[in-house]
Amino acid sequence: MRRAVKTDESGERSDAFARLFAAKRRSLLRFAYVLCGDGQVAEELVAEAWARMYPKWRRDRIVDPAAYARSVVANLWRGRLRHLRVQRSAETHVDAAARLSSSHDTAVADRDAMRVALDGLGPRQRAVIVLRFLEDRSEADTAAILGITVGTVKSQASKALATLRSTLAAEAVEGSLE
Amino acid sequence: MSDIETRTRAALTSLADEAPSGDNLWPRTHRRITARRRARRLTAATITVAIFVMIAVTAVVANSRHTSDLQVQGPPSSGVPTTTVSQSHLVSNLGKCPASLPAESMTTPVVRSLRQKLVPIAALNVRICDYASIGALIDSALLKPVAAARLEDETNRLAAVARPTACHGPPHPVFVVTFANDTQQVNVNNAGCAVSNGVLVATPTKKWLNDLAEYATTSTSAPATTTVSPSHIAAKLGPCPSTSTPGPMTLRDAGVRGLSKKLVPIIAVAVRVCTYQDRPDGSVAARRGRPLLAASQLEDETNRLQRSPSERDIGGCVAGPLEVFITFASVSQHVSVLDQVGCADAATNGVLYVVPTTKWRNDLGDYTLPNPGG
Repeated sequence: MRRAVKTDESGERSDAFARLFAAKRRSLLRFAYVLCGDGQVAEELVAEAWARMYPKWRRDRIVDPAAYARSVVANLWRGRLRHLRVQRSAETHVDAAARLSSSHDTAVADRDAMRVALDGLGPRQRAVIVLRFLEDRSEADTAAILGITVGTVKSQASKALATLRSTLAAEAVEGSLE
Repeated sequence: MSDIETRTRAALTSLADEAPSGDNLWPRTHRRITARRRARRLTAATITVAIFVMIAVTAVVANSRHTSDLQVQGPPSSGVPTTTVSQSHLVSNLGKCPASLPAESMTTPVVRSLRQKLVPIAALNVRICDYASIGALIDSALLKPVAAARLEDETNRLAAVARPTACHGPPHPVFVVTFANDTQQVNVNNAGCAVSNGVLVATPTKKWLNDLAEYATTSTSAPATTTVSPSHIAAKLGPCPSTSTPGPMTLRDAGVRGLSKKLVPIIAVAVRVCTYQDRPDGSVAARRGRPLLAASQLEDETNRLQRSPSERDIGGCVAGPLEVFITFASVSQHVSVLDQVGCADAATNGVLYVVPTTKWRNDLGDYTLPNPGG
């Protein structure tokens, strides 16, 4: 009987977790995708992050699952970056170059240029930029998710924007010359 | 908001729209959750098994250490004996005997029933420290369970007395015997003229003292760092000569000072008593003795013999029916004493003559252990 009750409780917790996953999945995938720039890798990161979250969530040790999941995704990404960066970087450059050359739409061109510019950022700067400007999170939230100080968030955001500005300007010059 | 921030925001939103929908992501995530849960359980089970295995191996190793009956001990260490109640693993913690007789009390107040028994614990190991009268460590031994139990039993059978008997003369050789189990240890010593655990006092028997000396002698190992080990000295003494040819004593003990003042003017750590008896046919039957350690008691007894009023040279005396030739050995010197019973009725070291007592002669008999070969 006790085991049956336990199984029921476990099943309920599992269902609740599945519902939470369904509710947060989309936004987390967007975050992961912009962070890594690859759809498959983004899904991989999200699945792994939620699998790692589950034991703690089951014991009610996670206050904000969405923030926690982003933190895990960011850490996973940083851990796997060296391996993935080589492949993704080569592919992205080719794709971006192709898109830039073929596209006449300003918004699309801007997006592709941004994609290339984002590649020039370090993992922490990129995470700061995504959390601050894609998810509109405050500096304090961003600092909490990434496990860094607010001052570091400010400095990293500033440096990242400067890098993006210079990269986009260079892309614009190249585009006008063509 | 700056232009770059606006552009970044717009571009990131546009980029995020390309993110996959993740419609089929939950089954994959669920599989990962299940796999991780299994891995955690497997790890926990592995750790549990590993802990059990380690405990089992430790127990087996600990048991194997108890298999040998007698363990030879190395060179003496300085310091005092270990505390009366020690931590676990006393087997290894008994350590070496202190280099000199510890001055501190041998009382073991934490151990219960010390008033009822000299050794009120089930001893697994015993350490015997044999000290000369001057307090220097002569010999030591570590006994393991079988011998420990035997000695514990023998010690507990010593007759208890109300109070220690008064001691006369210089201190006797002292055995400090440490009985230990895994949690407790009891020190028993004969520092006075009685055996005591600090609370209960008993009278030592000759057998008990001899057994301790025997244990200490047979388990002695020559310390690697010293060449003056008592066992080496005893070994140097060698077996008794087959015939009684003492010759001039003074030549034998050349270089020994104080022969005119004391019969045995050295600190003896080993002694050999050789007895020779004339046969009716004129041949000499040698009742050979073997060297013994812990010679202080005989040395003391010999030195207490009264000086002979008329010092006669027994070297020129016709040999009597019984001769006892005693050789005391210190770390660096030998002194020989000859007792020719029935000849001059005197014992001598070649310089000094003394009158042997019946008790001394009887005690010599106790010291004359037969050779191992017969």
